[in-house]
Amino acid sequence: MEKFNPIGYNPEERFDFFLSQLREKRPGEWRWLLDMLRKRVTPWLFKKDGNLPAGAIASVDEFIEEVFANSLYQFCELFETGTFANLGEIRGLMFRIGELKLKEGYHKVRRDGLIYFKDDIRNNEDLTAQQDKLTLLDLRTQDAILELREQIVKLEKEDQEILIRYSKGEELSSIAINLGITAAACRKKKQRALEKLREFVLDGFGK
Amino acid sequence: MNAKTKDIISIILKIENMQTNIIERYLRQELSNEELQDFTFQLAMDKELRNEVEANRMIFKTLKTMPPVGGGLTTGSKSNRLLWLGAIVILLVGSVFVYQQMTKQNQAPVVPLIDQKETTKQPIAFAPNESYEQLILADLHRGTEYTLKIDFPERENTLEIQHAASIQIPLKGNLQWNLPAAEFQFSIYSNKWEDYENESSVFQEEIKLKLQSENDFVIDEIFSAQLQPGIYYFLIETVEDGEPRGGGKFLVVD
Repeated sequence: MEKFNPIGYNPEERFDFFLSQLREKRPGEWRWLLDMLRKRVTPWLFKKDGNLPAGAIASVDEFIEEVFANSLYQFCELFETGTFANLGEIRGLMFRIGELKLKEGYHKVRRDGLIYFKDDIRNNEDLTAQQDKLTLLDLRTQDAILELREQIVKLEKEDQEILIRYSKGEELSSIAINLGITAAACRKKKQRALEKLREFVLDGFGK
Repeated sequence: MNAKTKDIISIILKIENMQTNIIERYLRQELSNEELQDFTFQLAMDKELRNEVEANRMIFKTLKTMPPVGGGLTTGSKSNRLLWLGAIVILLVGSVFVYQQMTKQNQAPVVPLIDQKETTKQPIAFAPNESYEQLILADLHRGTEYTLKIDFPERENTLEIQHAASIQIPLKGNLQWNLPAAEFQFSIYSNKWEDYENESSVFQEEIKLKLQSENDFVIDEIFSAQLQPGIYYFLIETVEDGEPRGGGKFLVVD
């Protein structure tokens, strides 16, 4: 049985037309391309992924999704000015970007250990040596995260509790029971608190 | 500010709210395959969205590194004891299952997770949702300080509304409210429970109550909404705290 093809033609065979549709940002062609890239690139990233360093904040799934998302951002930027002779070249670009982003991802995981868990570094000498390993961008990110943590701590205790547990995957209904509040109150508090943090991040760090 | 401007602002806020909620669900890996495909397309097309996603990702990562404020579950309350008991039962059942899997001769190959969190009970548009069913059947209609009686749509006979570009949803009932003055809203949710948890209603509008006598109000409204065929749950909520005070359901049919 023929596989359902939402764009109604084979992009390999009609590549020039396919490329022109992509340049015009046609949703059908882009959805086909992104679906194909996700199905091919994500399992490949999983295979290449080694064990995440201990203390990584994200799970493997979250890490791979972040790598894929960042790869996608760069792919979209490079696609605008790139030239491609066939579909294989488009795929190849995404794989090359994916490999680079995977390495960047590992660096970020190690860096996150220094940025997010800065409080754990007690010895000043160690702190200086550790911070030497951070780039200027990393140090700016570190400052930003410290400011964000200060904002979180300024929230009402109950709101902090809700957000911290929610971020770790707990369901709102379970959090509500535990805190002795209604589910509706819990979701309202969660929304309002997250909104405050979003406003802070998007206003402070710019778009 | 005139009524039209208010409507426009309300629509913009709802769209922003829905976008925010889908970003959260994406980061928590709660999107279905179809939703993930749509969202990936939006990420490719929209640089602003990428910035928002990464801002949210930073927030969630930062939150994850912080210890719980309350120190986790406390002992003593009945609900917590039940939770612990439930957790122990789940662990025991899980251990038996793992043991059975380990003794199987042919193991299924491990397939890397490609898609976002796959819910085995992924609801279709018309599938009733147990959480909503319980919520609307719960005795929300009568409290010590208020009584809300919904005459239409009736709870016993699920209202069927023919699908059209814009459908009309009647709401009739009576409210006796002995608490301080409050505003009420009519919120419609699809059958996805996470939409309720994320305050992502498909429709929301203020209910204009008609005073009949002291603390006694009549509800007689017709709301216009654009809804696809499926089952929908509505809630009458107090605006300030989002508390559901009454609810029901209806079907939009082809």
